[in-house]
Amino acid sequence: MSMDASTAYESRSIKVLRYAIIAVALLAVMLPILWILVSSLKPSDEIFQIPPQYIPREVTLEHYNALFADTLFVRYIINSVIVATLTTISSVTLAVFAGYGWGKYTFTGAKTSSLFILMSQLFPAVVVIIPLFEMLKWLSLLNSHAGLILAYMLLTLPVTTWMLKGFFENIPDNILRAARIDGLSEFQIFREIALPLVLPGIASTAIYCFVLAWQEFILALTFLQDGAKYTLPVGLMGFIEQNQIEWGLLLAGSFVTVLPAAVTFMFLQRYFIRSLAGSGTKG
Amino acid sequence: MSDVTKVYGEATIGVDDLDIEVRDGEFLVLVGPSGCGKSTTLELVAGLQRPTGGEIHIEDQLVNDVKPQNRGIAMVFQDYALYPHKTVADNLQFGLKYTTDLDKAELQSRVEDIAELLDITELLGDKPTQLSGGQQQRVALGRAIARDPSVFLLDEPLSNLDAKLRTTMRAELLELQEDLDVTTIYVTHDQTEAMTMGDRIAVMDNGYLQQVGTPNEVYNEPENKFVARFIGSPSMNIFTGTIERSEVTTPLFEFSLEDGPDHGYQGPGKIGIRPDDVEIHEDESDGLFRAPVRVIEELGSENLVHLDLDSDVEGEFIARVDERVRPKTGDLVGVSFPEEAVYLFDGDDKAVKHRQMR
Repeated sequence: MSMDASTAYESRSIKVLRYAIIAVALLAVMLPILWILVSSLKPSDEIFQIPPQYIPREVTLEHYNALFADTLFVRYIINSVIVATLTTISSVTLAVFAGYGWGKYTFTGAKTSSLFILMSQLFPAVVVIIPLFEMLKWLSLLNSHAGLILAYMLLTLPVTTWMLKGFFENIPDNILRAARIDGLSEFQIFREIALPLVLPGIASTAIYCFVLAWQEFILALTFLQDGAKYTLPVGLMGFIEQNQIEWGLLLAGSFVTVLPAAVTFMFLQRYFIRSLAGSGTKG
Repeated sequence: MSDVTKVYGEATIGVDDLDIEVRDGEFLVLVGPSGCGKSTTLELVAGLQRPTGGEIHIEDQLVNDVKPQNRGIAMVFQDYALYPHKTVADNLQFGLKYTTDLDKAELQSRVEDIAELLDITELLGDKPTQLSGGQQQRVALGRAIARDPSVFLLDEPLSNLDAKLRTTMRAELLELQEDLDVTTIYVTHDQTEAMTMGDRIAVMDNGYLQQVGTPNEVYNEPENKFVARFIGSPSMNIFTGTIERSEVTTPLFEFSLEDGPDHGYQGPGKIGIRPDDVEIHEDESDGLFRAPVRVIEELGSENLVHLDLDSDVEGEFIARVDERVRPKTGDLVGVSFPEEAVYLFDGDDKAVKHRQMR
């Protein structure tokens, strides 16, 4: 609504300026991806040719063919899908329950405990690598997807919980009270009223979670030793060898890696924006 | 439904030592300024909050430990609290789906009956966000009616509507309550709503019940200064002074009561007069005292005259006079009070003399 108002009273020069800023921002974000895409379609010897060719003289899929035929890339994709999907499902499921509890019920220690959860975010991931490594070793979960998923869950849960806590808090209390008077049990209220109302929030929380697990590198590199278990970011690193870099493979692989996250986001961005705007009004 | 009695004490704010009995089929209005405990009271009856002490009975049954859905109540909230993701029809029948074993056809006919009663049949397929405030209000009422409750609890149901719609809905609500003959507890901060709608009014302030009575009683015989000032619009004018039986002295004027019953009070006190009972004399030498006119509001059939008396009265001194009396801003006017219309309050603000009915 306020967007409409601002465009309606905007002068011409401000409008031009606005579009210029958007264009610059878009360029900054899109240029690297475009460069990856264009270069990955060039024959190997033309990738670093000077002056660079902005539009390849000859379009080739040789890197893509090699990627899927000669490397473990398909394996990496499957691994990444498994890890990211299971991380998202487990983290968001737990966060939905935790967020609802913290967001809509008052109990002793509610505030302290929820803040404590958030505090864990103060530590950079690098700091927790060693303790996590020890824990996974102790659980015999090193070099396994289950262990990596567990680590990602620990990493994402504070944020997903807080995101969902915010979405639940946005539901007016009286709606839940009305349902209580209407005769629903607490679980029915959760399932029939609260959950459907935070679906956009769940969608954006899931995007956050999926993208994080999809692109995470350090933990995956540390905890996975077996090449067949590598996720995409670690797998891509394999194309950087000691004496040479397989630029063609690296570029093609990078592009395929970015694609799913971008596509998911495109489909769900409507929810993402809505939920960001929604939580914004709450402050 | 016979009686709701509750006596409880909530330590900090909330409601203290409240004792009300609501009669079967009665329309009781809880009224008071915000934070007076009226909504808390309603939530206690609804079972959304637990009393810290005392007992709540509905239909002779102690309900302190009974869940909201088993109390035979239905509630309408100020913000309507409709389920935003469900259609109007689903909003109406949602509770019934979970609490009764009515089959689909029975639910359907129940929904249609209610929709017809409230004139919302054509909205049944819409989502709440597509409705206007007044329509949402009707749906919220319908959801309450659908439960076929023995008590209706309404929490400021009209305060989000515009003034015109509020008046219409007020009349409709009254009619509806009469038709359904359901005991109703209605919370509002609007004394006009309270006066026009309630069979009885319970005036609350600071968690304490100030007075319960018919609109006439609380208007004409307020038990204390708070009720006297809160009920009636504009508010009663109050002067501080000393009362010596039939002699009242304030810094501004002296007033003697010649007839009427002897109230027997002596000491510091207050004298009150409703704006309607004030007499304004355009000849400034008439009357008890004189004062300059600050502003005059012409309302058509009557005029509200505001006088510059702020240091002598609580709030602002206002007189409601006939349309023919229209002094100009800055004019000095004489002011007098007819004896039978005067209220007297003792040092603890308890009323010792009321306006006598004519």
